[in-house]
Formats: sequence, C-alpha cells, structure tokens
Amino acid sequence: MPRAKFQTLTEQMYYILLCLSSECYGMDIMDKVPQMTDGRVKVGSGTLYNLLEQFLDADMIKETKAEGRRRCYILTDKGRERLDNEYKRLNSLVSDYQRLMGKEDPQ
Amino acid sequence: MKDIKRKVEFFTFYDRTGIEKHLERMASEGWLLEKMSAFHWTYRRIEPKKIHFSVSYYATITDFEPEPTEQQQAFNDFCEHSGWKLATQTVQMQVFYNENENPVPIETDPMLEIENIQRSVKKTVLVSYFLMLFLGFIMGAGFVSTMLGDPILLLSSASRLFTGMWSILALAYSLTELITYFTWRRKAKKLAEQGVFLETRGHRRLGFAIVVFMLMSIVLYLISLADSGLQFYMTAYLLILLAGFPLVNGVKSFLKKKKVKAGTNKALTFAASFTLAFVLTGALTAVTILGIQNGAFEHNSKNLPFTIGELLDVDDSDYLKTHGKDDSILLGQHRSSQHPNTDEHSPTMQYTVTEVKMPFLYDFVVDTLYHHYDEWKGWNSTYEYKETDATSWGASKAWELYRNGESDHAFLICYDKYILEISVDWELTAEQKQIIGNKIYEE
Repeated sequence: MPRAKFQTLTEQMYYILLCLSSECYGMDIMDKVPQMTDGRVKVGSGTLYNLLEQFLDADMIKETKAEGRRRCYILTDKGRERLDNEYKRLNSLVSDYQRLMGKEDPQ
Repeated sequence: MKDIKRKVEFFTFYDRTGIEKHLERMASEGWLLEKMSAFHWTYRRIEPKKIHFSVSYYATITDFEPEPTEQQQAFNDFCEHSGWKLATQTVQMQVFYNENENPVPIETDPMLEIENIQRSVKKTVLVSYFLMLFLGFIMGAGFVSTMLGDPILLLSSASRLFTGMWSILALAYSLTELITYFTWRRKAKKLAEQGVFLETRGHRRLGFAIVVFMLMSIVLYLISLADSGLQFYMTAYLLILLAGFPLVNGVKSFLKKKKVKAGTNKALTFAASFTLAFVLTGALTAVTILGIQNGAFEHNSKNLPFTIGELLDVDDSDYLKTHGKDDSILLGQHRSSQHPNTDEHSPTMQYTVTEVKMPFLYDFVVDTLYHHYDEWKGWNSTYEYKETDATSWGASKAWELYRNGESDHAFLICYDKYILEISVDWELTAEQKQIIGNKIYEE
C-alpha cells in the first residue's frame, strides 16, 4: 500500500523540513543536509526542487523572500506540526526498541 | 576532422538508464550531446573523458517555449549548484552532465522520480502508443483475416502486404513498449517503497529494426510498382506526406527563434499543421487526378496476355474487357474478363494469371487455387477438379473443373512460374489451348 502523502516522512523530507525550521534558501538545503548528518543523507537537486514545490502546494512551507530566482522558505504551522508528528513517531520507534530489546544503544 | 556528429537514436522515451549509459560511452569516445531533435541527436567533439549523465523528466516543459521558463531555470540552477550542467532539453526531458567524480545524483527519491516519469509519459508517448495499438489491432485483424481467407490476393498486392506488415509492426511495437513500461512502473514502485531505484529497459534495437524494416518495405513497395506505372505517383505521394513533418517542425522552430510566446507558437503551429494538411491533401488529390488522366491507375488492355479475339473468330473490339493487375515481390496477379457488350450469345472468357515470383510459394499457390471451389460446394452443386492432359496446354500440370459431374469449361493450368485459371463457355480446342500456352510463355 502506498503511504498517504507526507503522513510519514522519508529521511530526505524530514531533513529538508528540519532545515526550514529557520528561514533558509532552497538551494542551500543541498549543502546543509549532508552537514547535519555527517554526509549520511544527501538530497539530489531534482528531488529537492520537486519536494519544495510539493511542500509549498501542501502549505507545509511558505516563501519568505526572493532574490532573482533564489527563493527563501520557512516552515508553516502545518509543516511544523507534520515535522513534530514525525519526530514523535521516530521517538516511539526508539522507545519501543529500548523496551523490547532492554538496552539503550544498539551495539 | 569533423567536430559535430549527428546520429539518429532510437531510445524509448523513459529509458533514462539506457540514455545515460549511451551518453557516458559517447563522452568517453569524445562526443558530448549538444542537441536532441525529433529526427536526430547532435554531438560535439570534446576531449574523451568520463562524464556522468542524468536524464530528468519535467512534465511542464513544452516544445514551444522560446526560452526555458523561470521554473525550468530555477530547476537548472539547483542542478548547477551540485555540478550538473544542462546539456540539452527536449519535450518534457532534460539531459544534464557532471564532470565531478562522485556527484550526488539529481534524483535521490525513487518515488518522486517515478511520479515525474509517469506524468511525462502520460503527456507524451502513452497516447501515441495506445493509438498505435488500436490502429495496429484493427488493421492487423483485417490483414490476418485476408491472409486466412484469400492469401493469394494478399500476397500479390504490394499495398495490402505493405499496410498489413506495417500494422502488425505497429501492434508489436506499441504492445512491447506498453507492457515494458507498465511492468517497469509496477516493479519500480515496489522497490521505491524501500528507497531503491529500478533501472529502465528500452527497446533501442527493436526501434532501429522497425525503422530499417519500414524504409526497406517502402523501397520494395516502390520497386514492386515499377511495371504498373504507379511508381512515380506513389513516390510523389510519399514525398508529399514526408514533407509535412519538417515543414511543421520548421514553423515551430522559426517561431521559437523569433521568441514568440509558447501559447502563440502552439496556436500558430497547429494552424500551420491544419493548413498544411489541407494543402497536402490538395496536392495528393492533384497527383491522383493527374495519375488518372495519364492512365497510371489503369492497365492498358493491350497488356492483356491474350484476348478472346485471338482464340476465336470473333470481333472483340466491342467487348467489355475488365482487367486488374496486382503485384508484389512475392506474387503477381493479372485478372481479366471479356464479355460481349450487346450480343448475349457471343462467347465469354475470364481468367487469372498468377505469377509466382518466389519459388517456395509455388506449391502453396497451386494448392490454394486447387481448393478455390471448395467453399462453393453445397446446395445442389458439387465442384471437383479432375486432372486432365497438360501437354496440349504446353503446361506441366492441368485440371479441369466439373460441376455436378459435367465439365464446366474451367481449367487450372500450371506453367513454370505462372498458374492460369481460365473459364470459358465453349469447348476449347487443342489449337486454342496451344495459343494460350504460347501467350503465357510470352508473358
């Protein structure tokens, strides 16, 4: 079953939204995400461009300013709520693991 | 040394894997893609090197924009930021290249990429494939039904063979492309759920083979018309039809160069296509009328292998003579009937000469003609071919048709490469049979 749009977030969606918790140029997200994740997560330019368009359509982010073709975005309340929900979902995954496996860190 | 290379490529629209691999190989041989057009791709000479390529699908790109839209430019900016430079773009498809060693791919989310491909395929090739499938099916069904019902009629007509083969090819090609696409899409979506990309598979060789076959069949078709006088007119037909594509394309390119807005360009190009369609139809009609006036679509009665007047002592100048000739590279058929115009009691004759151009078809043709009257059996009539003396015909084998046990004055005669079916309403003499035999050999 395909998941409902943005009901759960992929890693890339999660980190893009995380970057936009403060105002940020769309293009800069490509550099920020690998920095935030020690190079573990990378977002391709096409994927980023498409996701920004989709987040805008879903009112999860809004445009704050434009310099030529460079545009700045920030999370909306709806986007923040989705990101929080994802954070909670991930936390519940971690706590379920800890409870069942009886340890805190998977070594 | 040439610095520009033009190649006709046969990639399936969404076959990004095939296109990327091909372009990487071309770059390693010193050729960088510079332009894609409807007819060919243009490459520019470069220092041979390892370059990465990426094909992106963008459903909002139309072929009428004079320049990239702001959205496209923003997309290109994003790609350039990560080292991907735009090589060229065509309808809904952009090709980027990157000279870095390990670049981050343009697409890192397989599900998003599938959605983009899906949108672009829907807007471009899918409709054509379904249309091709539909036409191929309808025309292919007609071809198969004639093949089963009257194979000789089909095999002896270059146009029937030509359209039949084309429709079957269109059917096979569209079916292959549609099955491959939908199978790929289903598998790719499954894998995308796990974040994995699935390589695409196109039918480059099939596309190439089909184009070669189509060109060969056109040439063979035109060659097979050599005797009929239609060759010049059919060549004119094809050239007029072919002229339409570059002309419409030329209008679009000209307007793009003049920086005309996409909407206006689209409207004008469509208007040009319609006008051109009218003009070309007019030209085709003119060619047809000219052909009719010059008798290219008729067969001169002088070309009849033999006439009733050459067999009997009758004046056949007033006779109604109908005749038709079909030709293909496999078989040729000359059908003739000669009936008196006024006097009902004068003798009549009709015959068909089938020329077998490919010896392997000989037995098949004889067998089919031998069973020609099978479907006429029933009611109160029985038809039966009985072997008769072939030497009087100067032939290798001969049968006479009997209806309800009585001779019907109809014969099936086998010559070297000609097979004659003849029906008269009088008793043929040995001399007349000999004349017919000689005439057939003269043919």
